[in-house]
Amino acid sequence: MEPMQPILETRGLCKRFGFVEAVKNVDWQIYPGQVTALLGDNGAGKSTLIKLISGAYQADAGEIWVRGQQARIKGPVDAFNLGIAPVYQNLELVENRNVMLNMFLGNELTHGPLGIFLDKKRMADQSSQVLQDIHSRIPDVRVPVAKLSGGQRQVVAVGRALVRGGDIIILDEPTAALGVEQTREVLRLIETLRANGKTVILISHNLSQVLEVADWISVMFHGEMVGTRAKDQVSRADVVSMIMGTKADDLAMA
Amino acid sequence: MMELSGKLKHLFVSRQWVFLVLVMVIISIFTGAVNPRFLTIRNLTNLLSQVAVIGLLACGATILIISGEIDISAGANVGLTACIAAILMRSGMSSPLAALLGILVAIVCSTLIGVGCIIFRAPSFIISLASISVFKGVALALTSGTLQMIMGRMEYLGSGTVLGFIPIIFMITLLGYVATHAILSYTKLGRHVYAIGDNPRAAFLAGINIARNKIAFFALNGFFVGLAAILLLARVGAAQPTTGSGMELQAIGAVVIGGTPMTGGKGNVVGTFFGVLLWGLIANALNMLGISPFWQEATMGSLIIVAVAITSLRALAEKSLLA
Repeated sequence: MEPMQPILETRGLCKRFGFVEAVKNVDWQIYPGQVTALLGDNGAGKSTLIKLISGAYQADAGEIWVRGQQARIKGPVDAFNLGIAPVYQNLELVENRNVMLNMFLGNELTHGPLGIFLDKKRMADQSSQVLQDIHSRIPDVRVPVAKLSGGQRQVVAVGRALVRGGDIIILDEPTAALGVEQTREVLRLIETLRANGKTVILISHNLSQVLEVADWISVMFHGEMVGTRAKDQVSRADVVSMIMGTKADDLAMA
Repeated sequence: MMELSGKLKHLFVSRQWVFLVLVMVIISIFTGAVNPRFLTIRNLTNLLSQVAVIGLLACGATILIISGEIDISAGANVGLTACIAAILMRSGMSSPLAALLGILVAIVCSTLIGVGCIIFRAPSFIISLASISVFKGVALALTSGTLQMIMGRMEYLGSGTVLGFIPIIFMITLLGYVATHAILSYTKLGRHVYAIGDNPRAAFLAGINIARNKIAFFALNGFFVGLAAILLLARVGAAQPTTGSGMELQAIGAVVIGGTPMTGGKGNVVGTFFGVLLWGLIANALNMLGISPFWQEATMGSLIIVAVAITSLRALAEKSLLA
């Protein structure tokens, strides 16, 4: 599995908060067009690592490489411009605004003199198209987000990532707050994204879901990257012990 | 039939202004029956020119409140701006130029409040509360506390009418509302007003520059405050440091009556417009009904409480209708 060039890579990434080393010297490779799951216990550093990659935090040390080039990510916009689009756990949607405006939040299309007027028609068309591409069942992009179900909100948040031209989609615990049927919906969405050629990073606690959709499984423990394995090369028990921090050294040797 | 009543209910719940218009019609019929002078063109003209100044302040207040901010120094800013414009006019400067400089002063004052909030990470309520004293103090120092008369300058603006009965200053206010509505509904800046007021974290993570947007909101507010100050100066013909004091509360009251909650992220300027009209109408009707000024003041205060109650009941009704 070596010949593939990573689309996203971190080299020696570090971040500390006071005395806590949240992310310690992390080297990590993400391969294009595949689903990489990031697992780890609470406080293992998953969210911090993701926030470093998507520009919400600045690293204390280390490098981020995107498509073979070193990237300078100073804020969320820099990450968007590199095609890195995070979908946060609480989705960060604006409740009272409609689906279309949420998908274009911070990236609104405009027309007219100096581009001051919103181009609602173009936004409606593009957002409908994106939703169609991911087989969403949201009927109307002018519905306020407040009226949508948990699964549909996840779709809107992913839609925002796609509208931005994101091709590295980061999903932070996308099924944490969802019921059985809506969880199915989100897993199907992840498969659709991969089928459309997107790279997906999936943060999750749920091992069964991860084993179902992921191509690669990465595990963090106490801020360190324990290892990354191809899905068909690990057993459930291996992954659990990596997460718990037992046998981690043995696995790293393997 | 069921469907019709459902639609009517929806109309009332989703659009506060429909409700406000209904209340205005009822008050007008009642007051007109008691005092026929209420229903004259002359009184209408009077009413419209009374609401013009508060109306412009309420435009700025609507933008700020939706964005999750507030400026309670707007009244003091009106006083300072009116005094500076009056002093410039008295010194022989042409009225339009003095008015323009006055508006610029108001924009700078309001923008500084926004900058203060960002630099000190303080709520705009506190910064603008402190600014009241600053603005008043500067106005007192500049005028030595004396009345600044402008002797008929800008009278064409202050007492002129369109079609013989619509005051020019009300037309200017109306333009202010059209502009505010266009900004809020059709521009990127306007969408950011709602997004930042609703969920500032989401706005930041979506790449919206919060600081720059907030400063723009305060600058816009300053423009409306400045314009209001000039209209007031034109209408009254004089300014002093206490000019405009307390007006910010009337403007904020009108915003709330118009259905924009103080929690931000929601609301629109159409509601505010009718809130301002209702406010003016009730003040005018209380006069016409011969009610003592003391009770008028108490009535107006109670009105805000009623409006807040209606707004929160409406939010509840909206939830149950959607469910």
